[in-house]
Amino acid sequence: MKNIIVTVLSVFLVGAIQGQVKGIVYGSDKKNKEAIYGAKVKLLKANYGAITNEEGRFELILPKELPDTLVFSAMGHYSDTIIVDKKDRFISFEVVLYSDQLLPEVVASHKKGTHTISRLKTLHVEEIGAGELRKAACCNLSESFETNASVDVNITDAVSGAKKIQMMGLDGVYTQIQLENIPYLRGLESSFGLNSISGTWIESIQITKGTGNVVNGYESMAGLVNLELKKPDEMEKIYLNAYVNAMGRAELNFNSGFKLGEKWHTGWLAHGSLDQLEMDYNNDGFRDKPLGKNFALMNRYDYHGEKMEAKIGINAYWDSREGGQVSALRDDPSGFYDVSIDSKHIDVFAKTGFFLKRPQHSIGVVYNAKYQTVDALFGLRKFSGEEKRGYINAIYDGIINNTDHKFKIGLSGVYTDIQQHMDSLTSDRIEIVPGAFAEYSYTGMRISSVVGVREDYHNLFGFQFSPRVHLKYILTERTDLRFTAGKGWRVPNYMIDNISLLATSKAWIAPDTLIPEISWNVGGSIMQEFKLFKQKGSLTVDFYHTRFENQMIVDRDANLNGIVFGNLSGTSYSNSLQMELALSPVKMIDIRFAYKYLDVRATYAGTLQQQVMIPVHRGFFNFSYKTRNKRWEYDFTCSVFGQARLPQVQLPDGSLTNGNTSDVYPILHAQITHIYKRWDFYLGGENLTNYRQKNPIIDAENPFSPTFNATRIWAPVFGLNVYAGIRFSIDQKEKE
Amino acid sequence: MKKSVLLFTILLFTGCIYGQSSTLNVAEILTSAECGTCKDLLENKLNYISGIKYAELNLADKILNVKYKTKKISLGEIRTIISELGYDADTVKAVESAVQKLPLCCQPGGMKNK
Repeated sequence: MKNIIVTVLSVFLVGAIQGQVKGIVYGSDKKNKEAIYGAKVKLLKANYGAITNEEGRFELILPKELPDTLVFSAMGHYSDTIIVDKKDRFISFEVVLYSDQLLPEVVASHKKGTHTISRLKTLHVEEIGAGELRKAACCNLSESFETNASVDVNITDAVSGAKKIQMMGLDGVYTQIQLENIPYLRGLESSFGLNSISGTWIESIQITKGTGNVVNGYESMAGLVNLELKKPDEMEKIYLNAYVNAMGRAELNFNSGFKLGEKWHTGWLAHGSLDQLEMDYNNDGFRDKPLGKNFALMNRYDYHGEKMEAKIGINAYWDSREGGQVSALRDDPSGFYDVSIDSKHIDVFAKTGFFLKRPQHSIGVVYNAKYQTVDALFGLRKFSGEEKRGYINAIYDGIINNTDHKFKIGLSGVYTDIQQHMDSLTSDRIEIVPGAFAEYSYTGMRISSVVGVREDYHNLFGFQFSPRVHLKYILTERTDLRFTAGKGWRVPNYMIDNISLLATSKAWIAPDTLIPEISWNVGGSIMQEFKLFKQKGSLTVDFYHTRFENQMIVDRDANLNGIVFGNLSGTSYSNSLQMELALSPVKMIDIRFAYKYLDVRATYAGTLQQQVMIPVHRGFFNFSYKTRNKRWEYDFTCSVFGQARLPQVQLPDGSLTNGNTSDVYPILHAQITHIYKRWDFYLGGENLTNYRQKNPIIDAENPFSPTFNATRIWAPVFGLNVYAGIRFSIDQKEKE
Repeated sequence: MKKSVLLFTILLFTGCIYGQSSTLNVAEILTSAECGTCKDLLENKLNYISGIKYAELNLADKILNVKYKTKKISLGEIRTIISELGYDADTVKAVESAVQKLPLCCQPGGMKNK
């Protein structure tokens, strides 16, 4: 018994600490490059390795003792080596060994792209790396998606500044956001939490479309976004970023990572933002964006011992914002329309791990505890929420015979105590959800698959079974086909999930019962790499169909005077098609084009209709140029949003809105960065065409009238924004 | 919109080409750079030296491409800078004390099979 407790208490999360090195080994005689079958890949210190397959591919699980040296050798070629460290986990290597008939020198070419789709993963994962994050201001998480076509960031009302992400046309609550594989930004934080992670804390972002894997939870229905933060042993010794913009926002970010003795590393990440400039360019008497301040602080520790490793961290966040009518109108004795949102949280996480004696086997446990509160005021309507949450996830990782067959089994437990009050409505519940999961991965010559199942027992809703399957078929050396199918579910929090709908006088008609939202997702993608102008390019086409078995339907069409919340009775689905072309006409230039088609429909007011606020067609273009001496970077992004259906509402004069479709509009961003040794200077503009929605607030003169509505928003309220910033960083010393 | 992007790109390159006067030289220097870190070290040092337009290292053949203004800096001076960083530059040998300070993978033979 004691052994079990000890093992469970001191176990290891493979995903976080034990990394995997993957790659392809090519042989070159300078004229041709061909994959080498049977090349040996060996870790020098750990003394084990792998052999490349027919496609020249190999895969190795990294040992705990890092850094180590990877040696590549093949008959008739010069050998080569590369040092692998903990940070080489998400990078796929491309190794070129030169024929011994040729040059005396041999090199392993180490290529790290800024925006890559990891070809070697079975799941379709899009990675946004450090280079991509620098292309935009990226001061907070929502800005980090500005140069990405798969994840949209939307403003959901014209007064509170709430921002939500959207994938495949489905609301952000259907995308599981994780912070280093720990579920994050869920529950109460779903609407205002995007500001709690500063862009300067992020090392990389992984975006998975579809249901993701079973290991991390059941809530990924549309997709999974995993944020990897900077790690104490790799982050900068000092990093400073100061940012200001024309909207009146000023930000300061500070990171520092350093060693604390032989086995400990620590990192501090701090973020502060102040927005005290009131603006009302459209003269509707309402602040175009709320004033506010927010602060976030994180402290994390890494322990690397011989037998165990651990990560512990704590982060605290406080955000306070005030929107609504401008100060000039606040002297009105009959009252004024005030929007005030206060959110705070404290979050503690820990990951412990222990390598087992059998190589390639390990156990890991993740712990997380969180306390958060959200208090919101929209005019006379109040919302208050409090959530206490505990999460634990234990995973056993192993192989069967060889690394071609891998498995993960584990147990998880979630405890949530969530209380929400809105006007006279209450929604309190305590959730206790223990669960078990198992996942099997097979990596073959051409086919790889990941099959997983999860069974969770929810104290209120019973058993929920979630199977998920992912397949990858390597059609040719340059073509990958992927297929995914799975089920995901979550318990809706109709109040906080739709909090922006408080910015109207319409009453909320609460749902009769609360049952879990369940969806099935099926989809696939084709990724084709090609060579154009001597540079690598790629074309990706993906299609996903999500069908809801049950969903909390927010019906803004059924009743003109109220918003009806209820469980799905009818059909609800989403079809999403995305095509993305990436190419590099010259070495210094990267261009990306994307087109997205969204067909999202559900039964509203008894008929199957297009979901509101979702543009059916969307185009995206990104251009980036880096000078040869690496001193200047120019980035330009253009997004075109097609027409979207708008809810029909009543205007102040009693008539109804007609032509309930939004217009087609473009949003342009551009940024210039100058790099000088340890300094970066950047200057950029957002919404360069100054496109603004005219009169976003209906009946702004009478905010307490029955026709007041600040939720019918489909384009930016704020127009052209110019920003500038400075970054300064000193790296930690290289390890000898 | 695509036309303006093309125009912008053309203008950018025209500007670059126009900027080159006859006092610019492009040289190829064989270095002893071994790994990715060496590439970063060399490029980050040389790209900020006054007179050097750009410096690019090709790890495959260890050749450093440098474009520089002959009036501001000479090829010999560039070789000296490289040797002071800890790398060979054509026939100029690396300064020994600097070589010791380099990270492991950059040391001579750091990338070879031991």
